[in-house]
Amino acid sequence: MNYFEFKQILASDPYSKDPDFLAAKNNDTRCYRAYQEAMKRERTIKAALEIPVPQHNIQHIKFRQAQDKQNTLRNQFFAVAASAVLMIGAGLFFLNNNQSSELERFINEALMMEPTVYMSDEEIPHDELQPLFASINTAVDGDLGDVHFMKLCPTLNGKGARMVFMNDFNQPITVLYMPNSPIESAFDMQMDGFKGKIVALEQGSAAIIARPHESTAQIETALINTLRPIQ
Amino acid sequence: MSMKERKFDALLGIYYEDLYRFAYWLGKDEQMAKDLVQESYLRAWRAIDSLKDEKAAKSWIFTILRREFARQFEKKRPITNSLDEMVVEVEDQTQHTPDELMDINITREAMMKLEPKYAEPLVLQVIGGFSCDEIAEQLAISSSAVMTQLFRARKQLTSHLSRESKIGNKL
Repeated sequence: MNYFEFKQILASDPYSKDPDFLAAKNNDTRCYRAYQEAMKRERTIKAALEIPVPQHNIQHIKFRQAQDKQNTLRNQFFAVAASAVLMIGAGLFFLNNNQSSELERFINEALMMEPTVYMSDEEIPHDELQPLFASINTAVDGDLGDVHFMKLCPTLNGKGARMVFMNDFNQPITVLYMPNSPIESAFDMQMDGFKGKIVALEQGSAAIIARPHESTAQIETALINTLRPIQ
Repeated sequence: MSMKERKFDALLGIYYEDLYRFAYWLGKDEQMAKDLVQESYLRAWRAIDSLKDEKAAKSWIFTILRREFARQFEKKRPITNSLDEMVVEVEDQTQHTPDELMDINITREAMMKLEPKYAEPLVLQVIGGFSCDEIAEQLAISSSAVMTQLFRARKQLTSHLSRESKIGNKL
């Protein structure tokens, strides 16, 4: 392997285990010098990529593994109870905190007005959801996810819907769909013991309320990708 | 601790830091990285019995994370942190001279701007320790394509570093 071939590999794969590459590095002074220079740059790249890693996340992972085991045994009653606790807690939180936006105030009131969640044991078939969505000028374009409860309700600027989704880990996640309340971009609502997020949809917005360890990313993506206005 | 938990920890727990960093540079967002790692580990936990070749565990968990990223976030583009908001510290500052720290930060800025198709193989190589052939297999592209992407990734990083260093020297 000549110097130029060596340099070519060095520029893309300085960690190459190719015998010719290693021989050139060890036996050719010019190659060795080029290698030393490249490794100096590599050390900078490696240090740049090695961002600090949050260690507490490991506990969440272990917790979720344990929870996953339990989930196989957990019945729907627990899900209903957990959801109700969540709703009451979130409602109380909202009540005790000054909300800056009209939308957040509305969510507060909506959760306080109806803290009890009714939930069917089974997932509601999507063809049963379609007419409800259609009545609020919304089409479901794709897989919305595992919906166990849906009820039309008044929202800030017109009719919307309250829903309870089950995520992949059988955790009930509350969603308030507000087709007439558009927002420019998503924002988080920070709260003790709960996390809240209002996401922008093609038509209006949706508030997603869950406990901190509960996964909502999948539901958020489903809402964004599937709820469309009926043209 | 059950047998399954022991097996899982031994095979996959050791890659936690590498996976987090890979996830971070895929989405360039801290919260997204945490979610991705959690989801990936949970999926791996559920499917650990299907892993027949234990030597392939590392590649397997990285692939799960890549797929999870594609599944959850490809349609919804991640919110990329602006450089001003990027609060990422160098792990052990005492190991580096001030000049080195500056180079590291400039390289990070360049990484934030690097296209995913270049960033992904680079992180797999430098952080994951995968060979070009292994990266090619994971990304389902040819080895020569991986080499090209790695070459361009390094070229962009080093040219950014050299440009920013010159600006820095002028000040």
